[in-house]
Parts: sequence; structure tokens; C-alpha cells
Amino acid sequence: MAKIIGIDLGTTNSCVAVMEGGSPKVIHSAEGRNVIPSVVDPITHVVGDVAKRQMVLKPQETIFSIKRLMGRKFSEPSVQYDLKWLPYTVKAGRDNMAVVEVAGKTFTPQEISAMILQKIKADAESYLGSKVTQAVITVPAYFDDSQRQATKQAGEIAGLEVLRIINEPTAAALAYGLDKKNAHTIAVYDLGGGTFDISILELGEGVYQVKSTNGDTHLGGDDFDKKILDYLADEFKKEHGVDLRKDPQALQRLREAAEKAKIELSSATEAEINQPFITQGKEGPLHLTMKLTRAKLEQIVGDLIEKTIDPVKKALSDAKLTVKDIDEIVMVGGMTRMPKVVETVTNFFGKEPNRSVNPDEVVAVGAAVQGGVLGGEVRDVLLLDVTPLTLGIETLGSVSTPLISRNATIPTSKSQVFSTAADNQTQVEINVLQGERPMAADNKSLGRFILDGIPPAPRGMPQVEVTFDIDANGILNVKAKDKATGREQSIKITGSTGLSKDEVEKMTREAEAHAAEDSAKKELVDAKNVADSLIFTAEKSLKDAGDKVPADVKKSVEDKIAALRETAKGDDKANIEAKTKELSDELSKIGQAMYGGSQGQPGGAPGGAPGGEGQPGGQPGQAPGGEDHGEEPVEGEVVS
Amino acid sequence: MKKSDDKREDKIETEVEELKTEVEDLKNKYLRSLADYQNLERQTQNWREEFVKYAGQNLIVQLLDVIDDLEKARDHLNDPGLKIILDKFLSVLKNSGLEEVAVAGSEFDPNLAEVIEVVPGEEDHKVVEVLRKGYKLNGRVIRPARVKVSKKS
Repeated sequence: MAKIIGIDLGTTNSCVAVMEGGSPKVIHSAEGRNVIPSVVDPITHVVGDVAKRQMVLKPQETIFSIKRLMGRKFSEPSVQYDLKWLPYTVKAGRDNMAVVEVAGKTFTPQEISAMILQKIKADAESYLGSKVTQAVITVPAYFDDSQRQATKQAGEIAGLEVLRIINEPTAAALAYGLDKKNAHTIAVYDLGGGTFDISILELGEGVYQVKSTNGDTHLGGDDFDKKILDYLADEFKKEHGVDLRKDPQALQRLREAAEKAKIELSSATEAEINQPFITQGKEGPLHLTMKLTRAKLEQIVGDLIEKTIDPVKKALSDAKLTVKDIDEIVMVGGMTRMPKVVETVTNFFGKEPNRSVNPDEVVAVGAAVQGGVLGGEVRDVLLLDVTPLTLGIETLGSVSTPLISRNATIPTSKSQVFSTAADNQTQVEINVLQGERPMAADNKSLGRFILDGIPPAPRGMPQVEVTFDIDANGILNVKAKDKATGREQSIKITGSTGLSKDEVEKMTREAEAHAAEDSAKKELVDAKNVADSLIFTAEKSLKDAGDKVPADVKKSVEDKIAALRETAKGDDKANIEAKTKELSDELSKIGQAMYGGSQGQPGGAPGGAPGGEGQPGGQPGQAPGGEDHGEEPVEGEVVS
Repeated sequence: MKKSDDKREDKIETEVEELKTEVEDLKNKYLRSLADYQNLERQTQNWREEFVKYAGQNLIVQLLDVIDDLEKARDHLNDPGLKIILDKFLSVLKNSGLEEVAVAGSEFDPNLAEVIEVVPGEEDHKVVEVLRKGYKLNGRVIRPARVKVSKKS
């Protein structure tokens, strides 16, 4: 099925997105950027970043801001205003429509826009690996019929069937899913590169209607950059008496430095500007080094931000609404990243605006969402269930060991090999747990069963494979299998995902609330488990070494074992760890005594992993109630 | 008797039809999700490669800025030590696939360079001076050069 792409055909930059697996994804250009400058050389057919690079050389052939002329008559006041500052030739074409003239040829704004769309189409096709023929394109809410028609024609010239033209503010609202949240009245604040738009929308029968729009067609990020640049240049001039604006190369570097500082100051409170050797002074090279604080920046551009509030007020009064009537505010355009802009908007409306979606991409994302709806992007197939909570089993020291973590997409299955906690343990109990807490008792037990008939063997030797399998209906099958004998037991649990939303939330909340104490508890158990393993190893070493161990060493090790065993019954983690270390140090003396210290510690690592089998979390495990650690086979031992 | 047989047969037939549709539907969905998965796998692979490439690229682009400054310092100070350091620095980046874009004296190409200034000259659209070097990483332009270009007056 061919994909429908969503295109934000902007005045300064354009952006394209597509639905993938039920969520929108912005397509990067061949140059690796998320936006494409809306700049075109119609003679050489060069578009975007590349076209922008030749602007200085070919000011009359490099067309930008073409959107300002889309579907407009040459005589319109806005066209008359724009042609004064646009470096290329604008004239009246057929039906007195505004067209541009490049190298003796005339091009309609539709044709110019089509070149941008062609590049977008090509980039999207190379990303998707298939042909793209259909699109949703956005336009400003104030665009009239003629302008919308022109936009649609541009799509057709580019070989795209334009399924729908939607309003930019509506697209932004769709990107946030506000229609599904039933946000009735929303304000979309769009401060882009060259234009400012405010739109008030009202949801009626599932569709957003534009109640009013306002704005300033010549206010945007470029004005901000210019102010910052002027400030930096003035400061430099004050200090060194040289105007950097007169040196094209220095100006370019200054422009970049200003933009970089502006971006940095959106997250930091101070930005450093360092441009060494920026120009030549009378007494050698001059360096631009300056600190710009956020406070200073806000002072420089404060009046520009203030200028956006009047249009907002007008839009509200045109819609016959007050700030109290606005349910949600959406931020669009790169300039809305500036903290001062957010603050100004928040103060005006008395509530926080939506700004989690990248403001450069939000309109294209919304267009893609609309495209997904039109294309019937099959959500039911793609929307798979997830397990709401972690599933695992209980292991040594009443610890909950997870096998399938929460939010795993089902159907899924997972196996892990565990072992016994005591010598000659012939059966293990599997206690199936659900929940986020690290200790078994704090989680919900979904069921338990016993796997018996395990041949007697030292602890840690038997290999019991535990498999969790959740099918598409949320039915959990837990199977335990002794690898040596092939004996297996299993249990089927049907209610593993059937928790109500409240239950899931409650359990998740509890896990968060108890995170600190839980982890302390878990650490204590871990310490006890390490101690237990070491005691086991020590006793085994003593036994194996027999008479080869000098009596004094033997005595000392036995004392340390007794001390550690006693301490491990208590809850003093630091003390357990200290005693464990003492025993461990003492233990190495056995090795020294036996091998003259030339070979390491005998008896292997504590817990002795069997047969090299991968054993994640593979300490020997024990069931609840089994207080007397690993001295004799205890019934109800759990594998771990 | 016969009538009820017919009826039953009809019923079975509709049931078979329904099941057939369902099987077809499920098969479709199964294939689709399988395809989605394979596509995702392939794309993830691509993304990973791209990510590794871009991650390096971002860092190198930032370093280029520092190299520019060092080069200016070298030219100004005429310090042989600084020259050695700079050469060493550049050779490290060269080993990672960085190369300078040669544009000086050739015809201006917007794919490789950006015009900062236009000066009168004998020929049209010739690069008369490189103000900032351009660089390619593994054959792809990561930073266009900044140039002065001539124009016949």
C-alpha cells in the first residue's frame, strides 16, 4: 500500500512526515536535515540548502518566500509591499496573478512551489523505498480559496495527488491528538522564521473550525537574529571601532555566532561567543569574545515578543472569546523554543502551552496524521497488546527475579536457566509473580507449582529451565524443566494481563513510592546471598582440603564462618559485607597453605556456575520460609 | 426432513464462508505484521549505520570550526609547533574519511560551496578566494566551502 505523506510547505522552510507503524515519522532530506529551506533556482532546478548557497551570487535567480505570492493578484497590497524587498522580479502574469521572472522566463508561484515539492517527494521516496503519489499539504488558516487552489496545483505539477489541504493550526492540533482529548477551543501560536500567526480553533463534530486568525506577516526568527547580530556588532564596534557588518566574511561568521548563541540560550542561561581572528584591526587581528546572558537576550528581543501579544488579543476578541475559554494552547515554529516566548504565552493565557512535539516538525507531523486517517492506516493490526506489569519468579532470599518486563509487546516468550539452593535438593517450587517490586512478598503471586524428581546433586549443579510464554490473548504459560532428566511441570495462568487500569496504576505507583526502601531490602538480601554462597564455598574447601590445611588456619576459617553465619541472620548489611570480606580473605589462606600461594583460591567462585551454561542472575535460589540457608535439602526450595 | 437438511447445509456453507473470510483476513494480517517486522529490522539496521555515521559527522563538523581558528592562529603566529599540532590533528580526521573540498580557481558549484561575496573579475562565476575551507566526509559534503566569486561587470 502506497503511503500518504504529510507536507508542511512553509515560507522559510518545508518539512515532510509519514505514518509508520501507527506513529508519525519526520523524513530527513538527502542532506540529512529535518527541514528543507523553501529556496529554489528554477533555471538550474536546484532546491533547498544548495540553492541557498548561491543566493549572494544570483539574487535575482534564487527564489525564496514564494509562499507570500501563492495565489495572489499582482495588485494586492501585500504583493506590492513584498516586491519592494524581494530581490527577484515579481510581475503581473495571466489574470493579473503575481508571477516571478527569472532570466527572461516567467514562473508561477505554483511552479516554483512544485520544485520544492518534487524534492520532498524524491526524499520521501528514497526513504520509504517506494513511489509516493499522494499527499496532504498544509496552508495557513487565512489562505483564501485562490491560495488553496494554487497550493493544490503545485502538488499536482509535482506529480502528487493532493488528497486534502488542511490548515496549519489544525495540523498542529492533530499532532498533539487534541481532537481525541476533546479539547474544545484551542489557540495555536506559530512564530516561524519570517511570519507570526495566531489561530483560534473550535472543535465541532470531530472537525476543527477556524474561529479567527491574526498575526504579523513580517515578524519571525529572522528579526530576532538581526537584533542579536546588531547588538553583537555594536558592542564590538564600541570596543574596537570596527563595524563587522561591513566585512562580508565577518558578517557571515557573526550571523552564525548570533544564531548559535540564540539556540544555546534556550537551554543555558549564558552563552559564550568565541570568534578568533574575526577581522583585521590597525594593530593586528581582532577577536570577538563575548558573553551573552539569557537576561540580556530577552532584553534585546523583548519588544519583538511583546509584538505578538496584540494579534493574540485581536484574534480572541474576533472569536468573541476570552483567555478563560481556551482549553489548550499549541506552540509551532522554531522561535517558540525560546523560554521567554513560552513564558509570555503562559502568562497571557494563564496555562502551560503544548510544546512536546518539535515545533519545526509539528505541522508536518499533523499532516501525516491526517494522511494516515485518510489512508486508513490499519491501527488494529498494528496495535498489539502489552503486559502491563513485570512477570517473574521468586528466587533465593524471597527476591523477585523478572523474566518478562512490563510493557513488553505480546505474544512473547522468555527462558532462563536456574539452579538449586542446597545440596541434594530434589525439588523446586516455582512461584509466579507479577509486579514491579524487587521483593517477592510485595508482588502478586499468580500461582505456584513444584517440579520434583531432580536427581540429588550439589547445589548449583542442576539446571532447571524456566520458560514464560504469553500468547496473544494474554494467557501465561509457565514451564519448568529439569535439563538432566527432561522432567517438566507447567502452569497456565489466564489473568496475567486482565488487570484493571486502576490496579496497574496502583501497583506501578506503589513500586515508585517504595523504590528506595525496596532497593535497600534487595541489597540486604543480595549481601546475605553472597555471604551464604561464601559460607558454602568455605565449608566445601575445608572439607576438600582435609588435613592439608594447617590447624590454625582451619580454626580461623571456622570461626569466621560461624561469625558470618550469625551476622547474616541479622539485617546489618554493612556488617554482613564486612564479615564476608573477612571470611573471603581468610579463605585465600587455605589456598596459600595448600599451594604456597602460587595458585588461586580453590573451590571455584561462590555459587559455582554449572557447566558453563549462561546463568543470568544465577545465584542459588531459595523459597520463602527457608531461613536455614543451604545446609540441608529443604523442601520448597526455589531454583534461581 | 429434506428441507431441514438443506437448511443445515446452508448454515454450514455460510459458516465455511465466514471462516474462509476470517482465515483470509488473519492470513493477511499475519503477513502484514511479518512484513512490517522485516521492514523494521531492515530500517533499524539502516538507522544504526546512519546513526554511527552521523554521530561522528556531528562531532567532526563542530571540530572543523576549531580547526578554522587554529589555522588562523597558525597563519598569524607562524609558529612551527602549532603547525605540527594542526597537521597531526588533520591527519587523525583524514584517517576517519575527512577530505578538503578543492574549489579554489574552479567554477562555482553550489553543491560544494557557498557564496559570501561577489567581486568584479575577468570571468564569470570563478572562485577567486576561499574564505573558509569546505570538507567532505567519506565523499559527502559535510560543510560547504565559503568563497568569493567573480562576476564580469
